Amino acid sequence: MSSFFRKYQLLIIVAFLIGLAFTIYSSNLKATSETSFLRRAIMDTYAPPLRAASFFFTGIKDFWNNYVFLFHLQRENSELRKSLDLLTENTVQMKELLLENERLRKLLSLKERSSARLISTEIIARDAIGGLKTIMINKGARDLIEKDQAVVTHRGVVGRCIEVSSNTSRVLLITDINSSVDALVQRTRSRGIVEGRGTSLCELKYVANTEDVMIGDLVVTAGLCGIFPKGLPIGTVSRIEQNNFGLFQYIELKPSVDLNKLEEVSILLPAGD
Amino acid sequence: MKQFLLLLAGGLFLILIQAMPVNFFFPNAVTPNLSLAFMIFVAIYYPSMGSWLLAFLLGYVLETLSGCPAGLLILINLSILLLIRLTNRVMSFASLASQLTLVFLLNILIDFLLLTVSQIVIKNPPGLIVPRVLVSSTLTTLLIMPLFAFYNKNPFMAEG
Repeated sequence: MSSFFRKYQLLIIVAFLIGLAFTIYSSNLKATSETSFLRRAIMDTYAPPLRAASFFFTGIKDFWNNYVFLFHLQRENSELRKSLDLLTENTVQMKELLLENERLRKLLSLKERSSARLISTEIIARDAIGGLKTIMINKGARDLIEKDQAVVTHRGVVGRCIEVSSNTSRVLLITDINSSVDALVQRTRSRGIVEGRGTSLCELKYVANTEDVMIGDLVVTAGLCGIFPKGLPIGTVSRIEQNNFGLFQYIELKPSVDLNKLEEVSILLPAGD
Repeated sequence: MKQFLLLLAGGLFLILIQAMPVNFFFPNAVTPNLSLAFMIFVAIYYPSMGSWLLAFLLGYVLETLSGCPAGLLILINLSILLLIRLTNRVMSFASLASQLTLVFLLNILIDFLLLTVSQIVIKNPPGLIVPRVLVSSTLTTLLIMPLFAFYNKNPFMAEG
């Protein structure tokens, strides 16, 4: 027996490793809610060097922008001041609308919307495989992060948490091929599902050919899936193709958030957490 | 054992480089697959039983730091090792040019395989996918070239 094993040692070990890989792959096909202990340990082990590298390179980028690239600052400053004036004007109008909305809701005895809490976090890693769209953030279960919590920035939706370890979490971006978010066109309230394409764009699917959608329309979350609250910006329509024979239009979206330049994001904790 | 640990540390370090959010070093949506190139290096220069375990471990760690389905990258690493070991009986990868060509071609193959498995190839036009794969493969080959060049001049790992 031992001579048999010695003779075919390499073959047995290779066959065992391949069999183990297939076992891991097939066990992954089952939907489980827990990230395995080994995966959590690897994510937590890699977190400190990734955090250090992220801090280092962000420092270099900040130094370049703040001290070396000065000749753009003057123009950027005046453009930002103009944007600020416009936004201040819009804020005042929005505030008025908000107050009116609250009064009307009270009149109609509608339930008050509870506000969610935001936890800010930094991105410490991107997906190690280029075609996939996930990022790693430096907050985990210890910071009350759970699977399927929404990840946003002030510009709009980024994605949702798919894996959580003690100190880090993995976020599936809306541009990933496996991502889908229920959505509606803000102007016309046409409903659809925003799916990622594995590139920097998304697709708004299942919008009927008869629905009115235009380039430039803002698409927001519909709030039905229980992950994203209603009304968060997802993207703007950048291309439309109408099919004479099919049921649905082909609508391409440019995400509101520039997912290639993300440095910080916020996790939306449900109210009460 | 020392060689195994050295190679394991090297592989883990390259995976760390691959996962860093250094967008201003690499063009958007292009990530060099340094761990794949490293596996080719191991397959050529470390023909011992430990290389199979190395392929398994590095594949598992890379899967954990990516959104790839668990088990897929392990299978890819083991397949690369098997392919190169079998091909080595027929043709030699002794020269730098043949090694870099192998890295470039295998990188294209694996990239297309991963994009096909994740259905990105189906949902996007070839005009978008092909340049991305070519740029990624070229970048990977250029980045791993110093390792192969250095080892060709200073072979320090004994076979076996």
